[in-house]
Amino acid sequence: MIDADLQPFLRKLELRDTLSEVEKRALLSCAADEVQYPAGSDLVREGDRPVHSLLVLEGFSTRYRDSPDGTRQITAIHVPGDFVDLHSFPLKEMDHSVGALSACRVLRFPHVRLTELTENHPHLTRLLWLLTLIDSSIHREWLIAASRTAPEQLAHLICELFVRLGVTDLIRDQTFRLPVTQMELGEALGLSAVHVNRTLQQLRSEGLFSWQNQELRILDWDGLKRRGSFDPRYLHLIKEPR
Amino acid sequence: MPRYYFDITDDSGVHSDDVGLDLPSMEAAIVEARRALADMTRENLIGSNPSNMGIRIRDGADGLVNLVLSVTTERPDGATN
Repeated sequence: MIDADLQPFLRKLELRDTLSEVEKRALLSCAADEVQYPAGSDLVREGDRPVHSLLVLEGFSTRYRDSPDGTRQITAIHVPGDFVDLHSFPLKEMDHSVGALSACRVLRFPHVRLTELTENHPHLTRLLWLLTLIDSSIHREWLIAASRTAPEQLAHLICELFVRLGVTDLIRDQTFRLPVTQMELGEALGLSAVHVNRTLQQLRSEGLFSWQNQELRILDWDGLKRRGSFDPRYLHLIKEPR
Repeated sequence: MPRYYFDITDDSGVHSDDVGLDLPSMEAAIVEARRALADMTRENLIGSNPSNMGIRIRDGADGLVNLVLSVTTERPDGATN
């Protein structure tokens, strides 16, 4: 049932502005087919010229760039309900790849339909624009966090994921699924996997969270926010006309 | 791939690794440990005066490999703190 599947995405929008029923139907009618991607595969590759934009219904994905030395830099982690590849609609040629961290179920939005939508619905156009602006404010925040110590940087990332997953109603009992390896966390934070491991141990020993079998449970939210100097302003969680 | 464990020593003590990383060889594990030492050095040298940092790599087959890094501040009066 596509309407239920789109709830996380609609919740993301409705937390920040009011959507009319007509607008919701217009968004829904832009969706085409559903595609599944196994963990570790690419949704889009650097250099591609996609004809669809991808909205992730289920699963975690990442925006990344391969380096010539064989390593990769993860520049964003996307959660279910994120319109991960709205960028390719106006950018046309991909300057980075989008990969599946876990198995992903994705809804494809043909660019031709998005063109029609944005021409007929200026308000929805602004909201889609807002989503890509929030993507870039998250990039900005990651850049700033990169100058902090590893525990601060990691605490900040966990705070961010907790809030973003809360928006789409994916937190249960202060716990969420985090299907990433220490290696991948290292690629996101610009740290070695070994240092990530040590940093995780340190934060756990401070009683801030537990992490077992890909389940991350927040034990001390206020303490974690302090540790990561986390201020959610950059996520723009205020409902107002946009 | 074999699993390698990285026990870390710094001024706060020894931190035993109970998770480990799957890597193709001990050589790859040493490369990973060197990157970690670089991270630790950057982090520990900012705002503190660490003396020794080290990583001990454990696996089931090859025996232990130790990476040790020490930092000394030598002052004109001969003091080393």
